[in-house]
Amino acid sequence: MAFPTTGILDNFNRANEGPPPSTNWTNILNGLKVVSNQCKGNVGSADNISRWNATQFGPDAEAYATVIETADGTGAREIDIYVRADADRNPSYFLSIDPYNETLSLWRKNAAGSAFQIGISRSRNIVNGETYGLEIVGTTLSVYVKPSGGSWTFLFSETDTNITAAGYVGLNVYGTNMIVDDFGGGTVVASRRGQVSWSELEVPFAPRRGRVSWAEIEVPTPGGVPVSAYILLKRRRS
Amino acid sequence: MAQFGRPSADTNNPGSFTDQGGGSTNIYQGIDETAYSDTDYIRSPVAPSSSVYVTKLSSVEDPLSSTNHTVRYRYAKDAASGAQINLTIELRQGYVSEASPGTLIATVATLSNIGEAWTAGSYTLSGAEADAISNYGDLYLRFIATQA
Repeated sequence: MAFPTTGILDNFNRANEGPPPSTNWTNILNGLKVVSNQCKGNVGSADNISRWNATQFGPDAEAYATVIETADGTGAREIDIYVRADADRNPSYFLSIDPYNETLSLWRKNAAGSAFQIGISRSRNIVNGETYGLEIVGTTLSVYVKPSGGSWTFLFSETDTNITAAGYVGLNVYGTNMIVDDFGGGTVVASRRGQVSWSELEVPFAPRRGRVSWAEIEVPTPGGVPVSAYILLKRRRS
Repeated sequence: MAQFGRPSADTNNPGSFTDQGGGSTNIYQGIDETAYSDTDYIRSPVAPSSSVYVTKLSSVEDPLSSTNHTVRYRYAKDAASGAQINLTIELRQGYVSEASPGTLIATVATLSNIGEAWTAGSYTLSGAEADAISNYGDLYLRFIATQA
């Protein structure tokens, strides 16, 4: 399946603003803000979480963001991308991008706010400029990455059956030194096929000629001088 | 009176088209009927990306005429809503491969955001396009499907 199937929701290209980054965002914890046409957390050494509030997406949904700066300097660094999130992110699914421990991992928060890891953590050297994406289709959570200037590739997937409803997409940016940009997502657009059931080329018949392979004319054969008169002779008896 | 060139071979299938059942052999038979049938057909992969299928048309005699050259076809998307599918159809002469695609006689159709209902289309070649055909035994239809 192609990823992503939806466009960028916020490129943060505007005057410094927030938290939240705009009226299309709602703060969940501390909040995000626009700084120098990019997105940062509002509080140092803490989670800063906002959700895109314009609409809920899904239940098949996706979200992605570009990691501009991974270094927080505190040792605890994390960027989370949320899908199927409730208004306060409880419950929700999220992809944890951890450049300090160099891992990617999938998590579920339940309605009480407890977090449960889904599957195992994957080692990954998180590089500035990479874009990470999380997609959920049915019960399958899939993680994608796109290097700066590159193409999207699938990394891994896990399954979970606990959250089935549509929800919000959102972001957590830890501290105030990490930076993200170009946040996108929405309801997954199902892929389709093209089909052809019939085709033909019609052209006129080629023109035709009449043909003759043999011919003759028959006339009587000439037979000498025509008889124009005759004399009847009687033989005398001797 | 007219003569008809119809799909007669799977000339090239780099886009991994299949028949309606997912088969990949002689799939031209899904689009070669004398009278159209939508019960058998060819289909692109899911989420095609400039996916190509080429079929050779059966030979017809040079009509010694530039008029009344018509390509007909029927097309659809596999299901409602979802992603946008675009379909392009080309008439080519002398196609060998994607690297050597021969001469483009005409772009028969450039269809954007096709629907899920089977739809008929046709294209009549201009006199110049028909005149560009020099070998009526070496014509091909090239289908290109793309998910936008």
